Amino acid sequence: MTLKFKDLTVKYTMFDTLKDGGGDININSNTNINTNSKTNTNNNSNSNANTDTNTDTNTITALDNISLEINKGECVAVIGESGSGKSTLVLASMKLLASNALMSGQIFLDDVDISDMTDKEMEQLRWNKISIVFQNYGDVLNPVHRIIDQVAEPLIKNGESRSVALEMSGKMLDHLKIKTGRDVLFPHQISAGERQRVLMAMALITDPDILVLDEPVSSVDAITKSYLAKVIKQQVNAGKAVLLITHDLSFAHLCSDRIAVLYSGMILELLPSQKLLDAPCHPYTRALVRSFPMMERAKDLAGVRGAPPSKISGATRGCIFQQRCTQSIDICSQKQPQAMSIDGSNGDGDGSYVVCHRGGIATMVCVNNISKSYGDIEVLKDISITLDEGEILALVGETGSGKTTLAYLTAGTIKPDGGKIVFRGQEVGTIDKKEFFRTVGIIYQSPKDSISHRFTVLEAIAEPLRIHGLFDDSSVQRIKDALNEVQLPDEDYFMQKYPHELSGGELQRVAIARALILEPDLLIADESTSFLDPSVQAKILKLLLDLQNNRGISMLFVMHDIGVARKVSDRIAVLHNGMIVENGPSHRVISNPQHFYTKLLIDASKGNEIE
Amino acid sequence: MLTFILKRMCLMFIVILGVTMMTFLIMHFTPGDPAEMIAMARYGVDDLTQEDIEWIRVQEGLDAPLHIQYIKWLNHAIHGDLGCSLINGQPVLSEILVRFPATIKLAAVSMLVALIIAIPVGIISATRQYSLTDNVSMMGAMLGVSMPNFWLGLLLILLFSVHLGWFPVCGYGGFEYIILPALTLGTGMAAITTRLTRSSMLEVLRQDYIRTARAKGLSEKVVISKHALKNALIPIVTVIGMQFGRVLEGAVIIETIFAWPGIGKLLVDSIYARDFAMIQGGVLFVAVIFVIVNLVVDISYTYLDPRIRYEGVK
Repeated sequence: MTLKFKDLTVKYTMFDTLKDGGGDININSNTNINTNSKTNTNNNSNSNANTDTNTDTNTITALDNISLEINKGECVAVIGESGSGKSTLVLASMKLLASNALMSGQIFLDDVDISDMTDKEMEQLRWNKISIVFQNYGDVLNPVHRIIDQVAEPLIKNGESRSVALEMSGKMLDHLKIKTGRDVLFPHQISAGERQRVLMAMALITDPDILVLDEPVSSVDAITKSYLAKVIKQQVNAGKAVLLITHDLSFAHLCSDRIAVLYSGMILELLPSQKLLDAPCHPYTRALVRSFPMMERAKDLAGVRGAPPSKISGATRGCIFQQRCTQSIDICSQKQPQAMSIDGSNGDGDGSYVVCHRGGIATMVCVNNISKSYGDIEVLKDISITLDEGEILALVGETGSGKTTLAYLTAGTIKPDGGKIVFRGQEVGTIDKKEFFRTVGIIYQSPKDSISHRFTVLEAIAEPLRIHGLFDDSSVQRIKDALNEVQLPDEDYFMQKYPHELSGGELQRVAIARALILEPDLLIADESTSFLDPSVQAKILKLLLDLQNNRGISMLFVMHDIGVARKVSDRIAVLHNGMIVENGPSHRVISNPQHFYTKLLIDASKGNEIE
Repeated sequence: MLTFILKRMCLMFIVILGVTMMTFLIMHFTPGDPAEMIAMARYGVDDLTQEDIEWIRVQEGLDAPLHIQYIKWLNHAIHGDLGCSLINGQPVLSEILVRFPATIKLAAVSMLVALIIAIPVGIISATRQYSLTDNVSMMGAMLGVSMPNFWLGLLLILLFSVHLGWFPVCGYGGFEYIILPALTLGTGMAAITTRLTRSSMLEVLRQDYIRTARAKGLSEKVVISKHALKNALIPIVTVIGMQFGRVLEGAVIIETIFAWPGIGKLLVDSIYARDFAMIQGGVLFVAVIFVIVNLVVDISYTYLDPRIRYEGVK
């Protein structure tokens, strides 16, 4: 049996919610519109994209045009932050939505459209064809009935005798590793992990064709989790269609065949599971992956910057992810993007798609077959590498391997001998210099050399503003904000200091503030922490990562220490003798290095003796 | 469980002590000389002399200081002797035990009436929130709560006994005698219980386990009766215990109106006659019954809600 959602939209009317929660508060939408008719017209003329009717602005959109098909013998995972509409999807699959929910679109079980079925008709399907493992939260099991009775209940309803039903339930609970003797307890007497398995047993007891799992592992330990994964896989192999709702990315990756990324009620990306961790397409998916703690990954957790948009229907124009996106362009705030097939084909691919004006994560810098020599010494040999929008790339290698040269080439401060470097679709050499350096900030290896010793802190940070003719009355405040951002004092005495009066760490932070004052989209940091002590280095790296996450900028770290690189970067490229010998997601490069030189670097970083 | 019961028993004792002490004090401060009232009741108003009154005062121990009187009474009461009526000399306990079955009968039938009305109506109201049925029954409940039951009793007598002649006006006897007093007492109680059932049910129907039950494809009937009701009953049962106190309190008035020979009427009669021994004994008896009923309710409550059974009381 397949489960199919077609153009499913669910909205919740807000006034009903108020009425439910707030006793007799009675807000009449009609009088509201009448009394505020003037302001309403104004609002509408201001935001003329809001084509929704007035009643629509009184609703919250929980799911917006969801189309998703879960086939027989397949597990599709839906991931997303809380509030993205995951649980609404669960309830919709069995038509269990609250009374204030307005549903449109269709839901099919095989070819049967259940969206118009009555509760009486649904009773026949519920738990026979489709069952749900509810989120293990609060009183999802009845507190006054024994767990075995609750598991056996659907069987008894189907006409099974009580003794047979209890025996079958006991076996099912046993299968889910609930110890004998504990099945006669009440829900509050067992642990959260056991309750989770009871919920699973309850869903499996009638052997339905479709399983909907809502956060089935949120309250279990890692070992139970892997056991539950096994149980789910057995179900999939037995030909069940499984819809898995979870925020546990590694579990989704482990159990599912395809993953849909739900954000604010819309699917932003549908991708094969194996691509989730290494090659997500949508910036949101990548941000989710970055937020998720995983065993193999060492990089600090970041979180998705900003907060989800208003869910009031019609409140958001353009792409819903636009405000939090690291690569939004003008069109993103104006027009809602359409789904684009990832592999470029129309329909005959694997069905994966991304909803993004830019076709998913865009490439910011593309280095094509670059070579560079200083005199007779060939520093870079035919190098190709890319840097995505919002990505942190670490260039790692020993001193003299060409890292800094590559960084300066990317920054356009030196010219390549051959090949070309493309920045957002334009060759670096052809971009207007001034314009280019407003979008690219550089932190040099030695701040002492990069900041003139005749400049005060204020003058040093103001310099880029002056060069670009942006210095005005508000600039001093802007500089103070920048100092705050890098955690330096913004008092006048400090801003009047000269470089020689500052410590190395302070000076480096001034250099960072200077690099960030023009709010660049790309920040190149060349060994920016290598001469700092570990404590200051840690602070500055954290600072840079926070800034990167808050502003959503791309970063190119040049460093010789692969141990530091694994903590800060999404991707590591290893340079050796002017060539890139390894390039991949940081966790993969670290845990499974392919090239001997990478292995050598890792070994050396661990403090082992190198032969 | 045993420690729980023992603990409650100690508390019960303190409550009962307090109740009797309060009654003792209140009775003492009511106007009128008790010795004179007793003498009038025994010998009639005409032949009464001051000596008789003084003799009775000494005889009944009414000349002793108040606390001595109380302690003396308490000492006897603990030994099971509630004394004799000051009016007719009958032992108080036997008098109460004679009247007790009538009160229990009235209380039980009233409670039954209340529950038969309240629980179904409350459930229907909750399942059809804001419907006509709901509004009408809630209005009825409001009316029931706000109507004083002595007034309702009189109205019922007027309608059913005087005009329609279906039931006797008052008195004690067969089934037909209990209907009006039980109805009067029961409806007031039903009103409160209906509202409580409704709100408790609404609360329960919002819970996740109800959604789980519905998801399992159970019919609405099973969802309500098996999954919702048992949970909704938990607060209702607690309140029923307290309601029992209301029944006993109401019985004082209702028994007087319907000339129902129960403890309530006995108490009222004794108050008029300043029969201290009888009042004290009656109040003590009612207090004990009330406290025991509440203990039983608490115990049943822990059986209804397994969470309390194992966590609160071990």
